[in-house]
Amino acid sequence: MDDRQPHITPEILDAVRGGDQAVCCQVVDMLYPLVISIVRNHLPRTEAEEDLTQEIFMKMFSRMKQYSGKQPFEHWVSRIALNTCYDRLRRQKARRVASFTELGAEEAEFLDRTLLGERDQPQPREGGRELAFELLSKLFASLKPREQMVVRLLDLEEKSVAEVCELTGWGASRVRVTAMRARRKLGETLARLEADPHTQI
Amino acid sequence: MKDQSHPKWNQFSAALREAGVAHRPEGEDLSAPHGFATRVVSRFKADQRADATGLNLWRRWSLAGAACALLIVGGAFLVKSPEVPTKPIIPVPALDDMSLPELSIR
Repeated sequence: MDDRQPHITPEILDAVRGGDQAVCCQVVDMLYPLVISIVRNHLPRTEAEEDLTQEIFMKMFSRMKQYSGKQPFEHWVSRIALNTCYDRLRRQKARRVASFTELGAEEAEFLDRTLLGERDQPQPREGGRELAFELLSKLFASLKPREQMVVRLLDLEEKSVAEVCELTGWGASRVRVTAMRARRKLGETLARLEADPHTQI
Repeated sequence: MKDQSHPKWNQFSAALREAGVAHRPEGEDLSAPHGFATRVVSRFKADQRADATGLNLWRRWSLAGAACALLIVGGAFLVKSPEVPTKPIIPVPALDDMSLPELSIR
């Protein structure tokens, strides 16, 4: 959690429960950066970003009575946001099939450099992040939504299993098994790509 | 502890982290679009009102329905004539009267 974010106090929550419209708007504005970061990280290619964000806030308001106050309010909202993203990922049934040949020259170079362990070479500064994001979404397309979510949280955002459990509401053993399966799939895909660049991801 | 059984993925994920996929880029505008908060709160309030109206209607009409049903059942109970035990048209034979036909063996 970002410490720079303004904290939602119990007084603010009481005002929200009381239906104070101005405070409700204030809470939405305060939590928007947190929610939009989660949406953009987990569903980077979604066109309906605003709709999804709106859905998350609607859920937050309608479930306000369920918030017990045991955890920070921001964590509770993060959980709603993650679960909403997960539901959206599950609805996106179509699995994209990409091949190494579909990768652009820069993407292929990035992958090559990474797999060959030449990370000391200068990384492309301009658009390097977008390039990595594009590659990641192509790789993730072969994973199940739950696997995508767990691997992103554990291996990219470097959260602990306990944190993932708290954020998603899933059990520790389920998270570990899902991560193991996903890493195996990703490792196999990367190995195949390295061996045969024309392979289907 | 980091899982070391997938070196390819570990190598690749480290490169992805280095490229910054785990965090939003510095300077990215994460503030809510103008009027977003007002739109969300208004929609929530409108939904709440609609739900409340629906609930009230359901309560009102379900009570009315239950009252109607009670009236109909009560009316039917009052109107229905008491049952008179009817005499059977064909008298039921006593067990002693019943004789089986004799069987003949050819």
